[in-house]
Amino acid sequence: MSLLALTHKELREQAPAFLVAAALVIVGCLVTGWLADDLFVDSATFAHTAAVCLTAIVAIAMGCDIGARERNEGTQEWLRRQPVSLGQVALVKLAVLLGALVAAAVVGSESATVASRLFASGASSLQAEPMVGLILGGTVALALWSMACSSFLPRGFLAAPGGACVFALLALPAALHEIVMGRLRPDPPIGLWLTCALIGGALAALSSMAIGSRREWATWKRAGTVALAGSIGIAPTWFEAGANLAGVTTLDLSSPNLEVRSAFLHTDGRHAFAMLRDEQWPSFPVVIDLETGETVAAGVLGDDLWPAHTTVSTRSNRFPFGVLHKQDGDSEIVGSDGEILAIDRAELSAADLEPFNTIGDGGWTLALPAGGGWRLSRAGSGARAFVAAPGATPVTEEVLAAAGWRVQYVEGWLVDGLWIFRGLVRPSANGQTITEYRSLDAEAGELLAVDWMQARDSIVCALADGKALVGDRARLSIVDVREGGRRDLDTSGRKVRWWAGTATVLQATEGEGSLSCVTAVTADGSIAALVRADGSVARWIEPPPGSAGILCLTALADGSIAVLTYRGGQVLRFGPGGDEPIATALHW
Amino acid sequence: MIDWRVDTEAPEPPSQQLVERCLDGIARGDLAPGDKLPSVRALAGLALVNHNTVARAYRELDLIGAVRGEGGRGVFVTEAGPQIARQRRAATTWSDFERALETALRAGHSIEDLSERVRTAESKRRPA
Amino acid sequence: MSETNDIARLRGVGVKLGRSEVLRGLELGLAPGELCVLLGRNGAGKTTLMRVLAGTLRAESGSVRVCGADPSRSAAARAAIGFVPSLPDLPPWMSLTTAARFARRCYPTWDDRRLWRAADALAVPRRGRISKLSRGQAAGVQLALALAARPRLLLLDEPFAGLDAVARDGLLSAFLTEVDLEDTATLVSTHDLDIAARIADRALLMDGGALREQAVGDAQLEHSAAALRALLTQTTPGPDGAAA
Repeated sequence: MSLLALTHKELREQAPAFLVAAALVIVGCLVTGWLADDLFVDSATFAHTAAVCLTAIVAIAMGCDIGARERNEGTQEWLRRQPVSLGQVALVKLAVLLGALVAAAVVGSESATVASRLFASGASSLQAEPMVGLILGGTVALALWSMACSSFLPRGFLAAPGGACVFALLALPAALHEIVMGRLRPDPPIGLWLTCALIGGALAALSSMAIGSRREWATWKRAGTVALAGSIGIAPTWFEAGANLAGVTTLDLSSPNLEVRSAFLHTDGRHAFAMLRDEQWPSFPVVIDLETGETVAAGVLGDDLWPAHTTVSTRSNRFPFGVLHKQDGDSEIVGSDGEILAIDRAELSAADLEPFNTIGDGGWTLALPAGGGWRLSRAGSGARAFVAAPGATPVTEEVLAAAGWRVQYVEGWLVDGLWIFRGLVRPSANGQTITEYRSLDAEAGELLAVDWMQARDSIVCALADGKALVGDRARLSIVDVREGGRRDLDTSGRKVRWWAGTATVLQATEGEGSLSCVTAVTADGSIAALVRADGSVARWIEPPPGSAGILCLTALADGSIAVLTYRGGQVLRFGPGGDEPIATALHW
Repeated sequence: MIDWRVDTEAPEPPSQQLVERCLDGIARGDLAPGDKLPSVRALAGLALVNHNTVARAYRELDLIGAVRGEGGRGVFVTEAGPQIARQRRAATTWSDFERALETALRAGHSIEDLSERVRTAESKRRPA
Repeated sequence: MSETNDIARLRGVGVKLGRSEVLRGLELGLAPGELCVLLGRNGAGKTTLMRVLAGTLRAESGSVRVCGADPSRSAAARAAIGFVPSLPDLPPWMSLTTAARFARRCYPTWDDRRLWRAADALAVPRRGRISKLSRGQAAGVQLALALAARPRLLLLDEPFAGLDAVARDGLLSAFLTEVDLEDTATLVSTHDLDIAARIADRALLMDGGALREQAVGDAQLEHSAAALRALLTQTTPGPDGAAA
């Protein structure tokens, strides 16, 4: 009962501070929603900013008062006489402040949401939640600390740390601006504003804690003044920081600068995995249905799955579309429906991982260490990690050394069950480094010499029927990895600067038998070639102007070819149905 | 109407003053036989004294027979109250008069002067 | 009156405020039904004694017992105490009604009828904020609140100081009419010798941090203001502001 009485008292006393602050932020949200640009207003950052802003204002307005109130109002004696313990009083004050902060976060975000609903233009954007939890948690912690500093302590005691905490609260946007990322740096007027607010806020906080508030002032007047000063000091800088943050944490899919960084086609010939990005940051993984142009999120904004930490497989049976995502020891496999299957590595069987058992693209490889089991490790960059096919004898450094191979760097490809390694080798004491190729027979576990590869060649991609595209930048050949026959690709007089990207084995199209596609960079940009098994180009597919190249393509059921372009994320159709866009831009 | 308020600067203790006020009231007829005196609480409030002081005064009045406490119903003036009060008042009056007379004589006032004053006071009272 | 029945009992209580020793080896027993008046020069330690009894100040030595417990540690003991300060110290936004809503939940012996009767007798407004009331009305509000909790120990710390004569008499009259003297021990500290003489069963004289009540003597049950004044002049003035 006495807790109820104390709670009622605190609520009654702190209501003006909360109401004034809430009114200020609600009005602020409406004005901001009306004035600010759509990207900010539509994004979740707006709601987060409003929530944090109101939380900060309430924390300052209430935190400065709730603990010191009894002293300021001269009611300490009265309170001590009551049949309640001071512990209960402190507990209730803490609970009320906490409750108010939570309510402030809710009211702030809700009013921003309402404002964005009222003023939204309908532009679509993605949202990310970087650091929001951290900011909110930090805000609450700071507010509680400032309250603890001022409650039940003689005036002046711990005023400096208390003031410093309020100062830190004001300075949080500054920290965002200056420390977290350069792109959040404020415009000069806002920067000046921030500086003034920091100085004024620090002085006000320190003086109020050192001198105490004037007793003659009514509660609502004092709360109102603090909330108003807090709003003026905090709101513009917080909202500006929020708007800047929105610029880098949201991805506008209607942006003309939208790029598809990389894309992989699934063996179903229909879905592609792609990483989207807007100029620099953030990246966003999606699965694109090339037949309809529909996209499904395959992660959250900011997921930089490609290329450093990820192996993409298009060959998995168990996972229709697989992305093996390795980060801090955790793995995720993403299905073609975009669902992320969080999987503990220990649960992955060798068969599960087999589709990811390619070397090259992501730099990640699977290895079978001597102790048994699968190990994901990284080849290249001087790392001595070597691979073996499933079930085969592991190829360790010792195995390579026994075969006379002293490699500094190794990479490899799996073509039709045969591993082909390229190693940078120092064969003798003369110190020269040369490139050598070996193939590994999965059954024999033996390294064999490869004579059909030349020093500057690399394997561009594996094709169907045990064939692979190999070549240097200017010359592309088709080889049979077991027989060793090599035939140059007929480029039909086109000057190809270099062959790039991964190739895709297409299903039978246009009565041509097995076709493979490879992208190439020519004087006209990145184009695609459909390559027959005999090494001739069946068709060149050129992207529309401004799209900056083709990332992947597939044959659709009607025999047409669907193409995903680099810039703008257009999905286009070429073939019997006519060349036409399926989707002019990826949409949500 | 009786002015119950006691005087703390007077030499008599407050309960004695309350006894006097009561007797004055009864002697004057402000309180007739059978009339109810204020409750202890009420009189404490009126006289601005402690309850115990009032109770003590009522006990004293009960003792001399001017009032009678009737259980929880209250304190009432007895039939003999007015007479007792007048006797008590007479005794007090005479003692006061004798004290004043003695003081006057000690101060050197003549018997004639004092007689003249008594006559003047008498003639002043008569028209009223 | 046996000591075991005492509502409040102080034994050898010593209190220091800063460097000055305000209370020194103080002994006091307050029995039910007693109305004691606490007299003393400025700075004699009256308010300090009141705060020790109310539990807002912890004695450094000796023992303080109100209804058997130390009021500075026991909420139950504080629940048995009614206190009227010389200056109103309720939260300024509280009115009689809102303060009663608070107190009703804290005091197990709370009695609403008692509150409204006292409020009527004291003629205080029920809804006016304490900060908007006159001194007399504010004192009335705190007295009504103290009475409504049906305290075993009622402490009035110079409740009449600063009131005009009419307000003073009104407050005193209502207090005397409404207070329950039978089960309650009442201690009133005052500089007003007229009031002291009117209401005291016992007059306690604070002198040099201790009590001198024997000088008045139990035999003399009623006091005159002059007698009290004479007693007071024999005491030594306390250090200025020590009791503040």
